[in-house]
Parts: sequence; C-alpha cells; structure tokens
Amino acid sequence: MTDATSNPEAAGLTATSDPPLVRITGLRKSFDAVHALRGVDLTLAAGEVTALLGDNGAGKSTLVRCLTGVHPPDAGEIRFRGQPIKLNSPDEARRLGIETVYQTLGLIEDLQVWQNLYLNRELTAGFGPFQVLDKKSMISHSKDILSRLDVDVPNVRATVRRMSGGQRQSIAIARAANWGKTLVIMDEPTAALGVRETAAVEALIRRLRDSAVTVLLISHDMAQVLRVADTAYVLRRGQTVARRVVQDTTGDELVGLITGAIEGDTHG
Amino acid sequence: MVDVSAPGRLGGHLSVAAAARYAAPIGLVVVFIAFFIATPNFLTVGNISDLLVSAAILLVLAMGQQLVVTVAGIDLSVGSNLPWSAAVLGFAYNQGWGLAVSALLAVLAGLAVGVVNGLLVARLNMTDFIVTLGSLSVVSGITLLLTQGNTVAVNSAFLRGLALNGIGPVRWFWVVAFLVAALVGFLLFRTRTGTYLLSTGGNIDAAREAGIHVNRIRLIAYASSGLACGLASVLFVARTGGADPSLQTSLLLSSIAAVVLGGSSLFGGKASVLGSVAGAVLLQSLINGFTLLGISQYYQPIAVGGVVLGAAFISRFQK
Amino acid sequence: MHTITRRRLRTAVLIVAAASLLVGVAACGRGGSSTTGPGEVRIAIVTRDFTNPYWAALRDGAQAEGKKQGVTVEVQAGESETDSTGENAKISTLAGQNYNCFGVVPVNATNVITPLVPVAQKKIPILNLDTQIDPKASQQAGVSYASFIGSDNLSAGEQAAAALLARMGGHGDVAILQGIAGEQNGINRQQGFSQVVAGKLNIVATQPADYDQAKAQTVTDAILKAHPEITGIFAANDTMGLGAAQSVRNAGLSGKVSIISVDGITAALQAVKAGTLSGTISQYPFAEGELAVQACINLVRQQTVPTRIVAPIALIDSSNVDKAIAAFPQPFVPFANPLQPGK
Repeated sequence: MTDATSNPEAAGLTATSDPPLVRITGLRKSFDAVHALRGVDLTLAAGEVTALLGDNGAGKSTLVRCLTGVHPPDAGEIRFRGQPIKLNSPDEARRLGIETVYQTLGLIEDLQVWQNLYLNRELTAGFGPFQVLDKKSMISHSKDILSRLDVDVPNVRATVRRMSGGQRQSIAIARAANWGKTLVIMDEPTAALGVRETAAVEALIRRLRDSAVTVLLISHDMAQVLRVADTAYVLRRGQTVARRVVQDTTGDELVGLITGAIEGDTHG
Repeated sequence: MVDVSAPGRLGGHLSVAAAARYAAPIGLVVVFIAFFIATPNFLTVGNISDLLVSAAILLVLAMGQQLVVTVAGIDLSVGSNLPWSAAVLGFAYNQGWGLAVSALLAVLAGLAVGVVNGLLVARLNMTDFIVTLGSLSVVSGITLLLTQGNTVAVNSAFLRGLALNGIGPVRWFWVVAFLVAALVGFLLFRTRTGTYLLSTGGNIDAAREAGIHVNRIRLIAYASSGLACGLASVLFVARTGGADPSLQTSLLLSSIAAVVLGGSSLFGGKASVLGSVAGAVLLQSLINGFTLLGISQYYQPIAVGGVVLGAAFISRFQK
Repeated sequence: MHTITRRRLRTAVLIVAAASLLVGVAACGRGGSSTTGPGEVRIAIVTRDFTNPYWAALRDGAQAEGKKQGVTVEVQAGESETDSTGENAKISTLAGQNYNCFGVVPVNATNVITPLVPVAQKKIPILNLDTQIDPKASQQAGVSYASFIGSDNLSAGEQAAAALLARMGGHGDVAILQGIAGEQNGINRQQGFSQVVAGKLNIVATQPADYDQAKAQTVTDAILKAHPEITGIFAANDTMGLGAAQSVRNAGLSGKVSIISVDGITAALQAVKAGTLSGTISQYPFAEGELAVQACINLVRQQTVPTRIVAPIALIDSSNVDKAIAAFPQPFVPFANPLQPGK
C-alpha cells in the first residue's frame, strides 16, 4: 500500500509494477459552455474497491460516462492495463469487461427480468440470420444469477415495472456483477435500498473484489465508503482534489475534502 | 405471438390487467357475437372469408405501423407510400417488365421511402411526426408526377386470381396478411432484433447504455414499415385493378387505430401482434356488419371512433 | 415451470373456445340468407361516398323509386371520393348477399372490377353508373355491364363552353378548375369545354382543385393574381365553382368574371339565383338513381334494357333557375326515358 498523502498520479503502482487496471490522466470534457471535467486524474488498482466522491456537479457521472464509452472525452488519456484506449461506444467498454450500474439503472420497464439481465447479451439458438432467442436457457440462467447473488426476485418472468425500487436496483447490480469481468462501476447503488438489501449489496461488492473484479463505487454514504472501499478519490468542480487510502482517513476528512473545507492535494 | 407476462398479485387466475391486455381479441369476439345476433348473414363462411380479404391490406399496413410504434415512433407516410408503391408497380407493369419484376420494384419503392424516413429520424434526429408528415406530402407529389395524376390500370389475371381465389374458403389475400403478421410476431418476440426494438421504444437511454445501436434499430423499424407498404401495394393493385395516386388517409388512420386498439403503447416499448391483428379485423368487421345491417353510413365513423376510445380507456387498466 | 404451462394452457383454452364458438355457429346453419321469391327484385347500389351531395341525391332517387315500385333497394358507399378500398369492401360484402341486380359508381376506372367478378360469375346483371368503368379491363376480368347510365359529360362540357362563350362575348381569357386528377368525368367535361372554345377563348390557366370548395377558392385567388385579365372561369364541378365564386367576390370582381360549373347541386342553384354563379350544367343524379332502379327491375324481369342510357342535363342560368329550384331534385323538363319499368 502506498502512503496516504501520495501524489494522486503516482498512486496505484505496486512494487511488481503491474500497471493499474485503469489510469486516467488529465481528462477533460465539456458540454457546450459547461466544463464538466477540467483535468481529472484517477487510478483504479486492479482488484480494489475505489470510491469516487464529490458533491453534486463535481463531475462524477460525466467521468463514469467517459469511462464507459457513452461520451468520449475531449482531452486526456485513459489507459487500460497500461495500454491507452479510446472508448467510442458502450460496446467497446463492454468488450473490455467494464459493466456499469447507472443511477437511472438502465432497465427496460416493460421487459421481463430475464430479458433485462440478458439485455444485448441474448442467448440464441440457430445460426446466421435464423437466430432465435433461447428463452428457456436465459430464464433458467437468470434464476441462477439472481440466487447466486441472493437477490429476492421470486419470478424472473415478471416485468420490471412490477418490481419495487429495491428489487430493480438489485437486478441492475446483479446484471453488472454477472457480466463485468474486469471492472464494475456502481453509481449510488444502495440509494433506494433498505438496511438488509444494502448489506447484501455491500457483501456482493466484497465478493466481487475477492474474485479479482475491480469496483468503482460512487457513493454519498461516508459510512458505506469506509466499510467497503479501499481507496477514495475526491472530485471537486471537475478536478481531482485528493486521493486517500480509506483505512487511513476518516468520514469527516472525506466530507471536508468534498465541500472544500479541507484543501485537497492539488490546488485549483 | 403475444408476450405473456406473469399474472399479477392475484395469482394464477385472470386478473383485470390480463383482461385489458386481451381487450382487442375479446372485443372482436363481442362484436362478432353482436352481429351474429343481429343478422344471420354475418357469421357465414363466405362473409367472414370476404371480411378478412377486405381487412388484409389494412392488416399488412398495421404490421408495419406496429414496428414503428414499438420504437415510440409513428409513420404518417403510409398514406402516400402505399399509392407510391402501387404507382411504381403500375408503371413497371405497363412498360412490359412482367409482374414479378414490377411487384419487386413496388416493394423496393416502399422500402426506399421507409429507409429515408428512418435516416431522417434516427441519424438526423428529427421528430418522427414531422418527418413522416413531410414525406407523406413529398411522396404524394412524386406519385402524382409519376402517374401524371391518372389512375394506372394494371390488367393482370394473376393479381385478379390473388384477390379472388384461394383454397376453398381460405383466400390467398388473408393468407399473405397472416403470414406477414406471423413474421412480425416472430421478429418482435423471438429474435434479438425484436428485443432491441422493444428496448429502444421502452427506454432509449437504457438501451443505448446497454450498447444497443438504437439508431440502427429505429432505421430498421421505419424501413420495415416502408416494406410493409410496398407489400400492401401489391395487394392494393390486385384488389382495385390499378394504381390510384390518391392519398389513402383512411387506411393510414386505420393502421394507427388498429395498433392502438391492439394494446400497443404509442409511447413505445409495448407491442402486441395478436392485438393489432384483432384490431384491424375488428375495424373491418364494424364496417362489414353495418353494411349487412344497412345501418346509415353516418353512424360508422362514430362506431369506429367509439371503439378506439373504448380501447384507450381499457388499456389504462393494463398497468 | 408450473406457472408457465398453466398460463399457456389458459391461452390455448381461450383460443380453442373462441374458435369452436365461431366454427360451431357458422356450421349450425344460422348462416346463409333467405332465398328470393320469383320476380322479387333486390337491388344493391354502391357509390363513392355520401358526403358529396351528388351521390346523396343519387341514393335518394334510387330509394324513392324503389319505394314507388315496391322493390328492395340497398345503397352503400365508401368514405370519400378517393376511398377505393372502402368502396370495394362494400361491393364484396353485398356480393355475398342475395341481391339480383347491382349498380356501381366507381372511384376510378378499375377499382370495382375485381369485387364484381363474383357478381358476374353468378350472372347477376350489373349497371355502370355515372362514371365509366374501363371496358377493356372489365372484359378481361369477365365482367360486362348491362348498361351504362350516366349523363354525357363531354356534352356537359360543350354546353358549359357555349354558355360561357355567350356570356364572354365570344372572346377573352378563361381559366379552368379541374377535378381530382385522373377522374374520368372531369376529364370528359374539360375535353368538351376545350374543344368548343378552341380558337375563340384563350385558356390561360388550368389547375386542379380536387372537387374541393376551399381548395378552389385558394387556387382561384392565385389565378386572379397571376392573370387579372380573365373574364371567365370553368369549374369541372359545382363545389369548385362555388369556391371560385367566393374568391371572385372577395376580389370585387363579381359581374366581371363569369363562372360556369357542372353538377346542379342545391347550393349552386342558389348561387345562380343570387347571381354569384353565372350558370351550372345541371346533372340529375336523382334521376340517375331512378333510372338505375327502373333498369334493374327490367333486367331482373328479363326485359331488355338499352346498353347506354343517357341521363338528362340542362343549362341552368338566371333565366330558368326558379323553375329548376322548384322542381329539384327532379329535372324541370321531362326527359326521354327509354325505360318503362316492367310489371
């Protein structure tokens, strides 16, 4: 583990100099007059849970969308396992094994649970232009996916519209966790969940980390961050202002960094 | 080909939502029974067979419209795409290029309009209502130019046979229409593309985030509607013996009504092929029954409108 | 799995129940229509729509004659002047019922032929009403018509031309408002008109207004602006003539621009009386309807009917408009009726 006040850019390098899973340098993104990202540096160490913190409008969601190919950045570099990459579409991000649970969950309400779990990853029978959906397999595998992650959805053939907020969130997380082979990004994953469900999700996050899947977690819940994350980055107004090892910091310090009460490591 | 969802909290028996889902087929049965009681001439093999023939063109158009509505769009160009494709058929046929080539050209002509609609809506991000309204006019003008405003007679014994014959009471016309319906149902509910169509209509952002090429999917939807018009134009020419360049607004509005009747949501994401088929046949049955009963022409639009409103009301119970 | 099979079973049962209901009922013989008695006449007439008062008058004439002669007359129509498939559906529905004579006004030259094939195959006589159906296409389909009943639209155009020439003093610039593109009667009227005025009047504008009053008004506005020197307008039907009259009045040119149209609907007669329309070539769709029923009666009773029955037309202008209005919808002068309805 590197020391607490390290330079954010140098962080994440292990002694064996394996490149970090993701290394972002100088990322910039603007939407017309709004400068959402004004030079963000971030490193995700493989197999770790990294928390991304920041107030509303700090740029967290934009950063996530750059990382998942929804919005290609204007400037800056993203390196994946040491190789610079350009993610121009969600497809390319998925191919690298990056899965995301957006705050909006990305579920199609009028489709059934199994259809959502297999969205754009449908199993088919047959070949060429005569491919037919293999519903039976998808339905039975869905049951496995959900039960493996302890998700309480009694009927995978129900439409998502009939699910409670907590169930929907669990389905979205289960989907990302199932398909995400390298990196799973979660944006406020327990926002709509009760205590028990939150605990289940946090257990899931730990399980992911234990199976060498990297997790990027956006959360406003300091207690949660302290419970599950290994590293925390703080964004303020489109820039990285601090990196902290979670073990070595406190909730108060993180909050202070977010609001600006405490000066970050990089200024301005 | 209905995507049956699980029963609601009421467990395994028919819930209100399920009944609402089947509103169109149930309504169809109700109308059939009502006309059966009112006149002995309605529920005969000959009359029903004939009714389905009359509904065939509308059915094919409704299937195209169904796909567009599924992606939360609407295709108003159907009203002129149909006569345009028919005009191409008539033109080619009277040039002596043979029926097969002419029919193929008609289908391609319809497809072309659909592709243009799809490109404008999906790639250039223009509002579908406005795009298809615009193409409705443009294509109408092009059709008038091609035909010089005249109806082009198409004298084909084969087409006449297609319109009149079949195997016993099973007429080719509705065989074609039902085949199209089966194809669309298969596409929507048994293939990946169908899932993408439903997703794009249901939540375009979520679909995009999942990596679905929503623009391509919308293009496919509009192209399919154009293709349906092209196919329907062959039936149209067979039935009317020629290509009439006039705008077919009645068929356009009925194609939308049939889809709405069937339970598909105009906001996209929810489709029912069985419902749309039932809707189209229901609309035609009303006209047929009223004709048999000699009910004044003026009541017919009131009845049709009433049915559409009723369906809209019932669909609120589908949640 | 259990719930899935139960659901599928429920769907299947529903479908099978509905299907057997239909099949059982159809087979049980409530189907089939009653047989016609000997000599009983049951006439079916199908026209384009009832929103055009012209066809409404045809219907009224047919129904009045039917009542007078004590025969069944069923009149149905499509939804609009261009509703070819709607009209087809009516014809094929009625073709399956037991009518023994048909009268049809087509939307265009060919649209009614195919649904009439089963009628022809049953050897039921068919009358072509008002607008001619393509004879060659009909013949190829095996459909022939016992008679064509309609006014002579060529002659109507010629009479309109003569009337307009008289009013314009034999010279000047004239505009023509055409009907729906491709509609045969309009084409014939225009042809008759153009032939008669050739070399005498200068046709400066020819525009379609689709038999629509509002459209005719807009089109005339444009024509008057582009050609302020015109002194005459020929409209292929009355609704367009009325629209042109409104435009001329708005432009303050009433009295300077003469307008003649064809059809003879009530509104046009009123306009002639008011002086905003110079004249109309009145056709008598009411009489056409009567003639159709009379012809059908003869055909069913195996009596001969001439293959062409000309329905009367007459120029209505300020000199005879009062008489015309009084006699409406009948012609106000007796016309030669080649039919004597049989007993």
